[in-house]
Amino acid sequence: MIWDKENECMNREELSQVQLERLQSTIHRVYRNVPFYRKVFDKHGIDPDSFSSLEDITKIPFTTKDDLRENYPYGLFAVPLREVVRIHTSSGTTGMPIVVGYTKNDLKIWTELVARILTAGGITKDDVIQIAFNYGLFTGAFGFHYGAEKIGASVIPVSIENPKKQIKILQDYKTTAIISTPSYALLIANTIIEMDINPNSLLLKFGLLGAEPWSEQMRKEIEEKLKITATDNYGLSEVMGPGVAGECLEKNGLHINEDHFFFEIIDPHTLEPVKEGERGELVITTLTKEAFPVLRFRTGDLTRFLPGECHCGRTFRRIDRILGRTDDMIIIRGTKIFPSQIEAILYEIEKKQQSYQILLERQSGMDQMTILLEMSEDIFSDVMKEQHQLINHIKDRLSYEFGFSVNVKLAEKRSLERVGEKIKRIVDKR
Amino acid sequence: MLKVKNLDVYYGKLYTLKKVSLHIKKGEIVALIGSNGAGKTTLLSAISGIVKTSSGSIIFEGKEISQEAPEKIVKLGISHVPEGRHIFKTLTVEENIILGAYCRYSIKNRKDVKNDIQRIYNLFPKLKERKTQLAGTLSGGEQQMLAIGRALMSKPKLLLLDEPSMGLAPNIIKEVFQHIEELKNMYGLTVLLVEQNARSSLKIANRGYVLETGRVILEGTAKDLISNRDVQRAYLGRDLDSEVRI
Repeated sequence: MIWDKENECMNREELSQVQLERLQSTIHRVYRNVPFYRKVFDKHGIDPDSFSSLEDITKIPFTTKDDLRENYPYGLFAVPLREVVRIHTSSGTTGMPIVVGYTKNDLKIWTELVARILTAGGITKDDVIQIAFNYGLFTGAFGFHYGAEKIGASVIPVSIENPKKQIKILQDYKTTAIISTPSYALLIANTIIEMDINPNSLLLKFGLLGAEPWSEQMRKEIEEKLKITATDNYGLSEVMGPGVAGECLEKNGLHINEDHFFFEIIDPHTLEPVKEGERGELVITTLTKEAFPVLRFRTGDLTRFLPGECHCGRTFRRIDRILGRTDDMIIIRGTKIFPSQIEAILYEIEKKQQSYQILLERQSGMDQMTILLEMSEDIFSDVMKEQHQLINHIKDRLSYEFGFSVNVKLAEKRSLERVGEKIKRIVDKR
Repeated sequence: MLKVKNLDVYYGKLYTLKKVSLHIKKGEIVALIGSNGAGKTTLLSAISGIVKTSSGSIIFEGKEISQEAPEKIVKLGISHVPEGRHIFKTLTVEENIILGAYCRYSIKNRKDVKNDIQRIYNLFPKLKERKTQLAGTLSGGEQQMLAIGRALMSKPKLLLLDEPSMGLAPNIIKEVFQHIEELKNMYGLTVLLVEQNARSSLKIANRGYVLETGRVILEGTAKDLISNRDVQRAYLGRDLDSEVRI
């Protein structure tokens, strides 16, 4: 099923015309209404009338998270506050939150775009949708809520609750689709197993999971444990919230809502566009936002464009699942490494989420990577030999993957440096 | 059907259109709104070839027409109903309508043209009643219908309508707009509509573009534009209820 066939299946040529028209009008509006962008344009001598193709977008300097922060709270709004009908903020885990406003039309379009993503993920008006995102300043819950209502599905706004309560609702209210983070879906899946509930007794069919990076193995595990079809979706509050991109049932990458967002992928170090299909940092320009438009916003998320057309009939390009954050990207001996790659390997060997830390050191001019594994019941083995074998296996596997020798060491339980509850992922001593 | 890309138009050294891009799909009514001097009429004239463009492209059904002569463009299927109607007041109603077919009129085609005139009369019965009257004696609303009828005689695929409601009484405006909607629904005509009466035009349009000082500053579905507060303030007037309801 395709929600908005006319737009989602529009031919590429038509699409580039629509994108150009919208880019031009966005630039005019932003130049007129947002002092920050006007200053940037004037400083760099950019004429807002000089954009005659989509490629011209590269004339505009990038907008960073710091730019958004410095204009806290309302500095980047392109409309007066009285026209804003909703306010959300980014999570603020990495500093000051970013305040985002929506006009009536912004909300209307947001709702439409989420309806597209939900439909792509298999949802119809007959579904009963349990939203297990936190309702509040975070965009996830509200975005999905309105989109699901638009489709005509039955929405249960559970929010974050303890898994047992979620499961009770799942059983009693005959939920057919769950919307949450992948890790939360896995927690529910594991709790169901612990509670000795037969997943086949549930009516659950679909999971639309997002808001954090996850792996293909994790998808398989969730799908098997919950007996559902799980799709990935992508959004960020700085740009809109959920509804920016999402997987269809082909599960081969996330379709970008290209008629409303323009995506670029750049090398986070040289800031040049990467070669077609290479990994890099995602940069987004909004094409229709009224209250909070952004031009070339550096998301910090790493992904790549996927080649080829999708069998589902949508003509929108696809991106790969988010591979991590640029802040997490490690360059060692000229090789780019993402923690997600290491995670995937550990997961493959251990079959569970691992607590680990990446230690980077320089020994006599040579970069050295060490993976510190925190001991747990699973990894701890009385038989020294078995433990040794496991470590060596991980070591070989990682070294094979990256093409240089990687050290693997065990660390004592809860000995690794933590930020809040999370382990500090990378310690760079170079 | 029509694709305009980066259109620049200068009058002397003054530009009136600056990198304007827009598109119209088959069967759509697209409204162009904007204040006086924003460049709306210039844009229509550029499409129909009356005004020369300095750069950019106008592609109609896959063919570049920005350098074509107006008469050629009419033959391709674009008909322009100018602002102020410009009917021939000293000719009869029927003569005016026949003139609309000048580009295809010949002895051989006489029968076709006759049938088409009947079609126009069916569409606008008032014109039939007055077919032998001099066009100058018609009321404003009838003159507008005559101008539209005349434009339809060239069997256009795309109709460019410039200020069809200008100088008309509210109830007549309503009638004219009903006719425009009919043209779209019954004959599958595609319409690019320029109107001061932004609210009425957005009500019958599928999509719209807002022009300001020669640039497109907003585009969207007609519904979205009506609910946009900027558009409301600037072009729809504060007193929304006093405008004609369709």
